[in-house]
Amino acid sequence: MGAVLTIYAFKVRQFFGPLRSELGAVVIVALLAVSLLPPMFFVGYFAPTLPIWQSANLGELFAVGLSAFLAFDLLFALGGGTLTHPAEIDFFATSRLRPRQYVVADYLFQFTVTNALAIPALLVVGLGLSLRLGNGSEVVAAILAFLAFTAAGLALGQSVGLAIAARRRGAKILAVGLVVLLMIPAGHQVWPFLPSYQIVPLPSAAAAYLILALLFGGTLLPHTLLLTAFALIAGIAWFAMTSRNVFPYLRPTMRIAFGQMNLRSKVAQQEALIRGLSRLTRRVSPDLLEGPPLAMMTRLHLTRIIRDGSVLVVALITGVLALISAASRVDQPAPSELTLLSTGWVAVMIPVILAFNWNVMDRANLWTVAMSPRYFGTYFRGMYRTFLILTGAGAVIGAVAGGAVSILGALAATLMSLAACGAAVVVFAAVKIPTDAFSLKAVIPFLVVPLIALAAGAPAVALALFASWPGPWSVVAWPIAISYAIGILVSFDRLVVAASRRFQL
Amino acid sequence: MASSALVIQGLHKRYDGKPAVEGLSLSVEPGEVFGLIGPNGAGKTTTLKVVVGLLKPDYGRVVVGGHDILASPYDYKAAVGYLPETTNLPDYLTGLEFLAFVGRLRDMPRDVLEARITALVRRLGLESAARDLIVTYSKGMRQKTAFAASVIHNPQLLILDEPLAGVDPAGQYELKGEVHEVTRRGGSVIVSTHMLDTAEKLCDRLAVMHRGRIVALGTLAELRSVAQAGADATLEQVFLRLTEEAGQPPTPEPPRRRSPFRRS
Repeated sequence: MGAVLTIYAFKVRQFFGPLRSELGAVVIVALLAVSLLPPMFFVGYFAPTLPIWQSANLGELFAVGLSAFLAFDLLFALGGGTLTHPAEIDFFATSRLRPRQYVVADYLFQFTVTNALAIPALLVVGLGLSLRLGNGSEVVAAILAFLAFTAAGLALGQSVGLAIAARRRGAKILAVGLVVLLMIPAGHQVWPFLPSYQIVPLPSAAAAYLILALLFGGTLLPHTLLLTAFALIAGIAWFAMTSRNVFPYLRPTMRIAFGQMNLRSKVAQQEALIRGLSRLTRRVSPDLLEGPPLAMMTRLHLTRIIRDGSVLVVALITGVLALISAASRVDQPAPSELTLLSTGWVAVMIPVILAFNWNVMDRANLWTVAMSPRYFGTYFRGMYRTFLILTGAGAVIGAVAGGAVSILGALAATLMSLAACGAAVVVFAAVKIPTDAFSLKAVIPFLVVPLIALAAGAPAVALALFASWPGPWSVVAWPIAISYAIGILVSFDRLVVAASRRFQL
Repeated sequence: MASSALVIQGLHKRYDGKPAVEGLSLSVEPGEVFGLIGPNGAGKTTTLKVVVGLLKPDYGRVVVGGHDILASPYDYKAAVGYLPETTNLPDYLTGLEFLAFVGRLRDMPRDVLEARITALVRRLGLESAARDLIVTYSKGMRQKTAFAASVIHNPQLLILDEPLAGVDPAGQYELKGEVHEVTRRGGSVIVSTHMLDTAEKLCDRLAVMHRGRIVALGTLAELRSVAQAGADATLEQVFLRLTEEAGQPPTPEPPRRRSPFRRS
């Protein structure tokens, strides 16, 4: 046990290293805790009064969340199943350590990392809930059920990941198949012909319905049995896989510590992703010799976003948008502008994340453009245009999933996310944002871009509201809204060029 | 006589108050390979970055092909090629796509660019990998690709910062051939390198830098004379003598953070 604890302590210290050495990191985490935990209490306390709490679909929505967790865990398993720092391969795997000692330490570490943020939040939410509902022991049981589910899920992920790394036949297909199986019922809300979580015996659904049954009363036995069976299968798989010498199969999956954005490590990870996707993405072949410079730059940025995997983030956020929109339609026959605004608001994150990825991956490559500086403006205009295409597509998909409402409402919501594209490009072109997540400067885009997006979207929202009023407003609002939208898009096009003059490598 | 390809006069550059280059002056003539050598932190890369416009000098004058780069900071770059010390390349592009992109930035007509890419790829031995993503390239192939990008527009002044680092012997031979190709056309090349045996054979003249200053400048024979070294002294021996004479290495700053070995 001593060796297990030693390795576990090493991994925890390594991962949370920035919190030990950087005062700024401690301050930011403390601020996050202070700002997030009290609202969590109120979430728990007031949750039972929210309409969604009474909804018949609460179990389904909760099951979507737990399925997404398990699916993510299995997708992570494709990379090797363990959270291994390269130094651990060099020094632990070459020592007299037994493989299982390492795997146990890694499992404890994965559980710690996964639940380090979740446990305090769950305890606070649980406190609020138990004060409101007056059933403290049931709330504790529900939290324990959640932790048991995550523990079994991590064991399954670790064993499947090690099996994949050891090239065990069928392991990869099993992981991908499980992910698909877990997520198919999530589509039931949008496409009712798909089976719901209630009728598919999935561990995530069992955990979700068990937790709700513990809180509100209901049948416990079938869900408990299913969850126990899942834990047993995961345990057997884990025991079988960790009986082998896993050291030759360890992969350096964890190069970055908590909150750290080590450039070299990030680049190495991104390179691995580009290499992994290349068989598919090489089919996208831009002709950079053809067309005017702006079109070439747009093609260049689109190619980068597809080939470096950033497009997956866009797809993920778009999927979340669609889910939010679909979920907001539940128990609500007529969709509202509010739905569209919320999807527009989430879509704001697309350009911010795309710009962050560019900052880490491509900024240093601009020595090529620096030798022809008159193309800086075109380069960033191409980036703006690319962000507009992808974010616009995301916002429209979100809007469609939310149901068609007034076109002006859609315009308002879309304009907010499109303004965010311009703001993101302007901020990253004009300011050299550090890649360290705990740098205060790195927070700027996350604060500034949404604020600008909100400011740009607000007049359009007002126009959308006025247009719904009886009288001449509905006639006047249209041309004003369209002129305003064009004005915003063109203004950002100019601002991007101005910001590019301040660019620094 | 044609004007100098590059003239630097009284160049000063500081980082956070710490001097990186102090009063540097030199000139590079057409058709010449000029070597910039010196220990780590001597100011070589800073000097080159000022010349290519990636850094602004604090004081001094830099003239490239007769154009004062501070007065006219963009147009002169059309005649300059640059290979940085760290060759960051877009991993998501193929070698051909990257060279096409750089050629477009250099305003090269399509037919000229295609012919130039084909010729460079063949001469540098990149044919088999040119259609692969750069992310799959070895260090040497990346360096050769970056080199091709730096000469794609036939520059009159080629600036190379550690061009041969990580390149295998065959690749080094090819790159040196390309350097001579530039000078054969009447262009000039500045090479910053730590590979002194290569610098000795490749460069017509050399400047030895130490702590932001030039401690000696001239042909190898002239450097030997300055260092009071024998006629058969190698550049390595001359370099060591010159930098030792210029002073001991600066005392490292005391560590600001506590020892990593201290128990927390």
